[in-house]
Amino acid sequence: MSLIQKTVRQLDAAQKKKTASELLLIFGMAAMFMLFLPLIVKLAKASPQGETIPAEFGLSTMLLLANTWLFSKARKLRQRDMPLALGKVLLLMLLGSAAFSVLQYFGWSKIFHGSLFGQMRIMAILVMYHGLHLLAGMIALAGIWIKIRRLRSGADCYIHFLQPSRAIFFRLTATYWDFLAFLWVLIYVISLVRYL
Amino acid sequence: MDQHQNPQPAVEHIVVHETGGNDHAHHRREGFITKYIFSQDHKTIAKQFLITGIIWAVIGALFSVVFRLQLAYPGEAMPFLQLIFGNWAKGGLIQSEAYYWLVTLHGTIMIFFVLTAGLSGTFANLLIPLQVGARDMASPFMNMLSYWFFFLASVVMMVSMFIETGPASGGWTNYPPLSALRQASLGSKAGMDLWLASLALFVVSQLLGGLNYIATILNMRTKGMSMIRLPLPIWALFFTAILGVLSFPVLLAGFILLLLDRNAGTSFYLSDIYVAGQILPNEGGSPILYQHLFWFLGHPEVYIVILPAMGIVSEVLSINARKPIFGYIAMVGSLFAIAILSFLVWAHHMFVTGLNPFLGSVFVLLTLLIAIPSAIKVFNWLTTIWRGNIRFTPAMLFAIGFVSTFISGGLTGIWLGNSTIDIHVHDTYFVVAHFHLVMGVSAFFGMFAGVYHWYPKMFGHHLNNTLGYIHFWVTFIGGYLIIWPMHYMGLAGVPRRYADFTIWTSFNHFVDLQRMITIVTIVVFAVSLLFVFNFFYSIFKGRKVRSRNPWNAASLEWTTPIQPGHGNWEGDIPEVHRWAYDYGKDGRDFIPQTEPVKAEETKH
Repeated sequence: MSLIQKTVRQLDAAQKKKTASELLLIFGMAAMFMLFLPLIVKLAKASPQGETIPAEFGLSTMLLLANTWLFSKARKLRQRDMPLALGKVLLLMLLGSAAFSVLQYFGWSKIFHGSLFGQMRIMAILVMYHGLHLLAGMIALAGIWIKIRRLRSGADCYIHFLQPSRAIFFRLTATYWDFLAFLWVLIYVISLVRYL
Repeated sequence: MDQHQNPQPAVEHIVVHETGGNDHAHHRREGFITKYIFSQDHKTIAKQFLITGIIWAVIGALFSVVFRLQLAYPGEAMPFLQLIFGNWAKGGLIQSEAYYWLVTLHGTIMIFFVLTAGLSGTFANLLIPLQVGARDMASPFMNMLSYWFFFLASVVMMVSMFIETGPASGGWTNYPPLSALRQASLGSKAGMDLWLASLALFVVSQLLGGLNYIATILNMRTKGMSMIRLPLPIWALFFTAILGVLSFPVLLAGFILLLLDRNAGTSFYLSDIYVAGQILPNEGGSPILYQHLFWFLGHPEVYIVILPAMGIVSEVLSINARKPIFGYIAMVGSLFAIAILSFLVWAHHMFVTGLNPFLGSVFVLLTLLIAIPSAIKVFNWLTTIWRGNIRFTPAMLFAIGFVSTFISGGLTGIWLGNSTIDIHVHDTYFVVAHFHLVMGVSAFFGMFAGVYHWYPKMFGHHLNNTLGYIHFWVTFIGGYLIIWPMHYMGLAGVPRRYADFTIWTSFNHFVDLQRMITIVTIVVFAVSLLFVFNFFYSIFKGRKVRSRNPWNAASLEWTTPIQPGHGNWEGDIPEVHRWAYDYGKDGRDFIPQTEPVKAEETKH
């Protein structure tokens, strides 16, 4: 078998794997959405009795949107092979998502421990669900950051992402973060419509 | 042609091509643990699903025998029962709590652990890579996890049977408020938490498996294997996986809310409850919400069970009739239609919950629509075997038996899909008869057809045919003898879910019928044990498979070695040039999928 044939075969294999991973994530996100859907419908049908949404959720939503913007920057930096800036942006994202989680926890506590629990329990469950999914996203992000921070030059970065599994993982994590942001914004907007 | 002869291995027609996939896997050396326990080989995982499913089937069927004894001989002591069940059968009498958990676990085990994991898990794992032409699943690791989550779910369910307060006993649906309140019954205590935990693990298992099946079918097909050339079992398993991925999470959401109601003091399903002189503080919840969430999975679950059986039956009928499958596109279309409609009919299980009658009528219409694709499939199966050169192998008999029971059970589905009839017979044996015939007996027949047909590929040995024929005829006749009288009992108003209904003098004359049903159940159970013996005995002592293609089938799995290793094909994966149903074409018995189409060939 010639070198060209071998290379074509390897690329073919990588291409298939990439698409399979993407499919796994796409259908996985569909399954996750179905997990949230009944609760979102329940939230949309909730009967407000004077409750208000904890202010922390507003702040956390802004943080999450900022994180989404940061990930779009990270994608560009990765394409331009700028590992130092990329590492900083990913670290910022990690800190941002940690801050998001803290704010979410405070908001959740207000619902859980306050008298609101009776009426807004569905919101508390959704925050909890979303938090668990966010944790998975943070672990993936931390995994990328740990590997990125060792890279120094553009060439390092180029070589690092030449391995298809790394490039795919980066892309899948970005997609997953977009999904998480979409999910939370949907929940937050519906809760605003119901409770404001 | 005699099924034991196989003069013509299809391998000579194979045109190979170089492809990707996990071709590193088949070169790896494997130890005992990685080969048989934590295996990532889809074929081994299929066997793990099947064997675990068989063990559960024996347990689930045994439970049905025990509670049938109670129905047939209420109040009559059977001391041997106390030996097995201890205080649950004090004095040889099945206690009412025991009756309820037996029924609950029978349903849960049969539907989830046997007919979902044992049927879909087995054949999806076995057939998808082999029939689409892949080395393994898209993610063999996720595939392995899928089995082990199922195993964990099994362990948790098993543990629930041995705790002091017993397992869950609210029926396989476990509706709240019964399931949400610990004080409601013995079966609502720790056993219910374990039941919920077990099924949550089971859902994770199904999601891991389902995602893998979809990705493999869409992305790992060999060269030439376009979607339109996929064998029908693959199409069926594809739609099954989509159903599972979209509906199981909803069930999980329902279970999480139930767990919170039970353990965190929430009131998603509870409101205005008065138990044993005590007013509970729960407000604002609705038990009907649980029913919506449950049946949003519960109805697709019927198709998660039956679609793989339909796919298997289509394959077995075509191969053993030596005729192309009739109406391939219509078969795929009807699978698609059934899959879509199955998401839109869940409330037909809730006609008696006070559902808005207008909404009910919408669900009636959508439910009755399912009859159309179902009928298309039935007509196509009948047309496939019509004037065929039929080989009556045990697999073929079970496939034909499937068509029979699916028609019989499906027809009563049309009755029950009409709310005007369902409301009258909803809580009677008529419903028990309907779903046992259409998703119990039929699905089992599909599973048996698959096991008999692909056993040589799984184990390199044949099952014993004589035992197979005994198994079929006793199960077929026995199945009808058990189920058919239940329709009459249901129409006479005999209620389901009761441990003892002899207190109603109007139903006393059904005791003899109950006894007949119970005796036949015991006979069928005994013959099922014969099948289990045949299954395990033949793994070691069965007649050896001598050729790659013992059934002279056209699909790709029969181009692999008799006992394929991890990676399936020794060399490169074969290329596909045609569909999988070229039987009796141009004077030839069959043409393998790997044979290029010739210019002079006739078209279907």
